[in-house]
Amino acid sequence: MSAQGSKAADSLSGAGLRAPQRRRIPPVLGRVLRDPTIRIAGSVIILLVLLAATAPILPLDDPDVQDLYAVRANPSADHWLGTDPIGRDVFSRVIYGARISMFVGLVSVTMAFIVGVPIGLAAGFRGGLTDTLLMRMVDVVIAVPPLLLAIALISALGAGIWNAMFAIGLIAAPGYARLVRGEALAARELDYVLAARSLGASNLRLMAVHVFPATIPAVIVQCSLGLAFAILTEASLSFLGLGVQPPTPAWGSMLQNGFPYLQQQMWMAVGPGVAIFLAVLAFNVLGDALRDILDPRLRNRRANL
Amino acid sequence: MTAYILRRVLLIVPLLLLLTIFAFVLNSVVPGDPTGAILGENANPEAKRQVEQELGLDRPMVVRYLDWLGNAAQGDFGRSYVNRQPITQQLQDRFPVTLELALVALVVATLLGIPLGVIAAVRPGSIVDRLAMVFAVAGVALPNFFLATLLVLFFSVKLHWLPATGWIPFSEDPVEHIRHVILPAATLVLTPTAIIARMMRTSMVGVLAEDYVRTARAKGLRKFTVVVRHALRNAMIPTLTVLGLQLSALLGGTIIIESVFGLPGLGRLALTAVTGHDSPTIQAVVLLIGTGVLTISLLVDLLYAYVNPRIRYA
Repeated sequence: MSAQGSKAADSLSGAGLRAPQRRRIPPVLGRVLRDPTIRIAGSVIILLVLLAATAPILPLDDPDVQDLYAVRANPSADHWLGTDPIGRDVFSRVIYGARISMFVGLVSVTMAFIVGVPIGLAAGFRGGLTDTLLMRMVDVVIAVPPLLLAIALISALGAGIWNAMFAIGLIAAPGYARLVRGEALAARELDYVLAARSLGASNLRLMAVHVFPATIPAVIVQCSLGLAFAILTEASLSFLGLGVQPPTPAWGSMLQNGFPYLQQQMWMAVGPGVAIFLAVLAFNVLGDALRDILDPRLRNRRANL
Repeated sequence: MTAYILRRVLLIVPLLLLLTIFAFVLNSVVPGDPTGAILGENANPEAKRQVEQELGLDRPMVVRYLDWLGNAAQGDFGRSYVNRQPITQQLQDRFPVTLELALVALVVATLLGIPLGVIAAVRPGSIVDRLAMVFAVAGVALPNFFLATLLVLFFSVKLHWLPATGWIPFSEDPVEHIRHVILPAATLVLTPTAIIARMMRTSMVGVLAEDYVRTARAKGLRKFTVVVRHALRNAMIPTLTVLGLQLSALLGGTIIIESVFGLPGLGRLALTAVTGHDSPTIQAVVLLIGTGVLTISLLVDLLYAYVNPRIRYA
């Protein structure tokens, strides 16, 4: 995302003929791109996305092909993480699993955004009864632990990747609503919003054009953390057999399948486990580092000890 | 403060009511019909209609909701679609297991997380701080079922110190009971410890930047006294909220842990209910845990009012 942003900024500065002033990279974006933590976490994420996107053209074994002569093989030059009980290459399945995790993360976060942000905007901007009603509903949904809510939704909808994404998006949405509400509440009293209102802007326009942009920094952070949450929840659901269904390779179900063979072929479980850990870690660290930059309230604190 | 408490206590009523609607609707708009869960998918239509009538499923949803709500208020959640057992009995059998795991994990996580966060906050940027924060970040990212796998691998499979799965009631054999609780509880402890430590560090760093901390130091108090007697109280306020949230997360986290370690708790009950399309059981579990979480957040808010002088003297 940030890489794209810088490219856009470059092309803008390239079109310097028309622009009287050279457009430069906005200072915030510059800070984001220079931050060492963001660079490391971002690199891991870019690597994961690249592996996920290019898996079919990489020199990998087919993740679904069973080599029944090499069942539960130990790691070797041919099979870096060994093979599973029906002879499929574990390393290749871990790489293909990244496709599922990234896809689920992206779709769930988009869904949480689409459901949560308008609710939060409406509650924070309108205030009063709208706010009370919407936020009490949010409170109730948040009161049910996310995983319990996810499995309850899936029991209604049935297991499978699409229902899992739907459930994860739905349980994440209240978090966005609560966050955006807080930001919108603060933003609606800002001078430029009042100015726009005095110029006769409609409520919808005020919300979408003036208040929403003020919530974007917080929402970006939430999306990064949300991707981590989505990947982890999908892995949990697949681990329980309620998410991605076999034979599609998903990290959670691979870990579950490897569990009985811990003693002899621990890589079957450890491989996908490490993959989940790294992906969740990268998005969490990215989200935290972005928050440090985008939320200046936390900066410049020093202990008086 | 009385007004605040009264308002907060009264709020639980609409919240609980909303929760019952939510729990009921969640599993009443099921696309598949519940008679399938009882009779099997290929039962003849005649038998299906009869079961529907017996269960009262032919009545309008509002009537069914009110009926269910009335019974639930009296502690009767009906019978499971799958094994025809009274659900209340099952909840009573299984809730203690889940509660024990969640509480043990929360207490241990608090005892570890708060000191860790305080030590990190006292010297921001130091080696201790960095290590603590690496732990905090990693602790949140490590999936608990993966941690469970690793713990079983080392402590059960390699070292043979602790049993990998199973549950022995305390009344049967206290020592074996504890041996069976250690691994699941240890698995559950990691994430809340990490979150509590982080929250504690953030709020402590904020409090230590306050002027009154400098004043206390300037008048010659020892660092330890300032941190523990003066700063800790205020730094605990945001952490308190996090503690409440963690208990909720732990109640959810037990779903996976119970299934990994084969423990007879609520989470496993919910999971088997999901696979069997046993909606009354799921509704009951969602309602029970949701009520628990709402009650906890009520208690946290009340405690919050007590420890936060801005509310206490308002």
